[in-house]
Amino acid sequence: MRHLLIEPFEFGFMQRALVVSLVIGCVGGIVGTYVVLRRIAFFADTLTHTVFPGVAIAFVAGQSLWLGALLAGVASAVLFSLATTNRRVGDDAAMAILLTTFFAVGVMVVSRVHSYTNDLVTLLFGRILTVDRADVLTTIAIGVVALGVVGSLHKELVFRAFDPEGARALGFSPLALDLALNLAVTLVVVAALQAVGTVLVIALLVTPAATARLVTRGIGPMIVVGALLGMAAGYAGLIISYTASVDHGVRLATGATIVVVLTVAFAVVAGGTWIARRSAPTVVA
Amino acid sequence: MRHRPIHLLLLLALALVASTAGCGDGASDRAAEPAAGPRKVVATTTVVGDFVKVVGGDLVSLTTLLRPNIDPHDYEPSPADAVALARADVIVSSGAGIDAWLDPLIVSAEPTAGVTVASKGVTLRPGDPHIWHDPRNAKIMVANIARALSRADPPHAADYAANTLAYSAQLDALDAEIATQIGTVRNPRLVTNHDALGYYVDRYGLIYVGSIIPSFDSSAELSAAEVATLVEAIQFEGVPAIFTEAALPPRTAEAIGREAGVKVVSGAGGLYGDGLGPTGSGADTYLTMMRHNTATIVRNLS
Amino acid sequence: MRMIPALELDDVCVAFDDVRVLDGVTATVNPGDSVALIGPNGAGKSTLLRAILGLVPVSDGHIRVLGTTPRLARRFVAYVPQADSLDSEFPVSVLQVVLMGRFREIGWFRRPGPADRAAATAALEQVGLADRANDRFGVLSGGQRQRVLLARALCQDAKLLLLDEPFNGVDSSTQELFLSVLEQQRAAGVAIVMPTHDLSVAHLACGDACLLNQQQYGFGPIHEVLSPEALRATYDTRTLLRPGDEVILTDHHHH
Repeated sequence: MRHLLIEPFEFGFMQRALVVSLVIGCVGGIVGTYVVLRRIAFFADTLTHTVFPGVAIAFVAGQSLWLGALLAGVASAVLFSLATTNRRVGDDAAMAILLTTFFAVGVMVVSRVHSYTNDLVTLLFGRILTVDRADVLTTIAIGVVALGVVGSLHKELVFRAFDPEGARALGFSPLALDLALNLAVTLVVVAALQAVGTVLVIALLVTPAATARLVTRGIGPMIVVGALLGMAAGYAGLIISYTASVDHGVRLATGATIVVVLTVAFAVVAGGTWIARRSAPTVVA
Repeated sequence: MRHRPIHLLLLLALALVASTAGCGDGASDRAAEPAAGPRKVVATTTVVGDFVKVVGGDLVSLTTLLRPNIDPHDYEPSPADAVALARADVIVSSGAGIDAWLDPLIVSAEPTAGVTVASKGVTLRPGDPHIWHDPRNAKIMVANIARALSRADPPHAADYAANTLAYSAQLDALDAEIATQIGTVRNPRLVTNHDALGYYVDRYGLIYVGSIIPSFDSSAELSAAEVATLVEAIQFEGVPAIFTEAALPPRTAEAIGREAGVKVVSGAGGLYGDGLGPTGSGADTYLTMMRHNTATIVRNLS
Repeated sequence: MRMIPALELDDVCVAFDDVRVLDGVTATVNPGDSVALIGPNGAGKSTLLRAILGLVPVSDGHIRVLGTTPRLARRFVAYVPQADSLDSEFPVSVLQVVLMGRFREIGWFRRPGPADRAAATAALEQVGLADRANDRFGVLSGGQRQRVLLARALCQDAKLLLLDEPFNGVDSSTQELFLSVLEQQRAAGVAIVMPTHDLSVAHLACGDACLLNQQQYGFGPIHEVLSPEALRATYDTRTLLRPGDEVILTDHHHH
């Protein structure tokens, strides 16, 4: 057991990978709670894809990827909020067009560099094995900022999720709150670039919170369980990916493995609660 | 809303970070114990791996990072690779930029061993890292590897030296053999999938008409104008066949071949530009690979 | 001492995409007054509430709330929506909902403190639900949820209370409670505006009425305004004859 759970982390690269996974699992689970409560998972998905071209441009320009990614994240959040606040929720078609266009732009930008496929894969799916110490610290810093944003606006975000008109009537600007949450989402995308890349980060935002929702009453517990689930999946995904590679020669991309762990957890919990509900229909929620 | 769960979690996360950061490098756990048994060697490319096997024999336990027929530019690091690097006694890279993709991994794995660059001392063609296609360069690479192994394993220096000597003789023989064979080709005009055989062309006096992928790496693409120019050149020069590499998809080559009306030599019977072939392909060692390439070229251009 | 009216509507028009949904609404509501907004579905009653809250812009005329613009007066305007408009699955407790009424007072970023919780608990006691404070909002009955939303508004210490169809589908004890709370509020000088379908309750709760169906068909003391002719003009004959229309069927129901 020790071999499975502890030994991999005798290596520096695994320690760094672990810290990054735990941080993004935790932050994703927490920020994701507000995404799930507001029922904007699809919007959030579109938003995560709008970060990609900005990151691609930064990458191609050869400047600091972190800085470029952060700028892209902030720009995405601002533009996205301006475009979507106070729109009707059913604007699916517009969102789909936005998503695919941004994605295509990003691919076009990256493909201008010769031999781009490898870099594209890294941006889209992450590469956690090569994070260095500075990357770890930057990830933590970004995570702390994202938590600060949603933590300081907790009551306002919950109010807007529960009663948008009431919140607006009391003077809480919907644009400001949407901007804050969207910014937190894009910060999670940036923080998770190396671990899971832009394509799969939405899973980190939605799945832990959705799973937590099934087993908790109240928002505080939902946040805690979501964060714990995110962290547990980060750890488990890393262990599984390591063991498969080192002990069995099987390649499992770490980012994708983390996402699969989250999905399995959700399926198990959803199935479990469904069964529980069937056999005890009078349980008061 | 009495709790501040977010703040608690922040503290938890920070505590976790502090504790793992304080773990120190993994290297300290694996302090240099002079190991008995084979030296652990990690080679980046298949060619370098083959050289290590030749020089080291049973004295080394070899891990090669790249698999045969995998484009180096598509390389995706795995935890097993990182572990192998971390634990290696000797690490050998090909050099001249062909294993640049592996550098971040080598940095991340924090190996105790330094990286031996096999291309040290080789005269480079500008921008072309495929140095091993000239057997004289192969000799230099082998010598560098032997030196590294001897440094890491002084008791067996004599063995490494002996193996190197024997192999160098084989490389000389290979060199002469290829020169003779190429000499029999009336029209030694070469069109290949990408510019991997520059050193071979220079060494044996072939005439290089052009390549289907206009650069030293394999993911670039020809523009329509460049394709037209190449087709013209093929027809003008009377090239009887064009060659693709086993590792790369032959579609573009086939299209150009159809366009120019010449034979396309592709698939497992094609050339090996970026490395060795898989086990059982008849080109899974350096010597067999070079002979395979030569035979293929000679057969199709005669 | 000159009283500032709680609400002044001066020829108010609201339009969406060039379609006028409200036209020429004029009324003055003084502190302690209580106005029923009466009209069929789609008449624009909810729209008018939203305009008073500053949630939709006025395209013509103006609205003055407590002597100033709707936006600036928000702190003192409390809104009680229909309980069914809120998600009953949402993981929020009764007390947390009531606390939301204090958020304006608390302001951005800061967390509710003991004083806020005390005020919320007191408001819950006023509506008789102090014992359900920690239950999830959604498990309460429709009438109970409506009471929670009233408590939320009471927390706010508002001068103008807007209640959207508060008696819709509630049980009689809730109705009693609402009437008594509204009575107390009026006595304390709070003005009330209340769209409602139920004419009998309107008579019980309100001193004035405004007849609305895109345009205004009357405003003034309720006994004068709610004449059969005025009602017929407000609701056109097609609506009058539609079976199952609660308003018209209970037309002759006197208190």
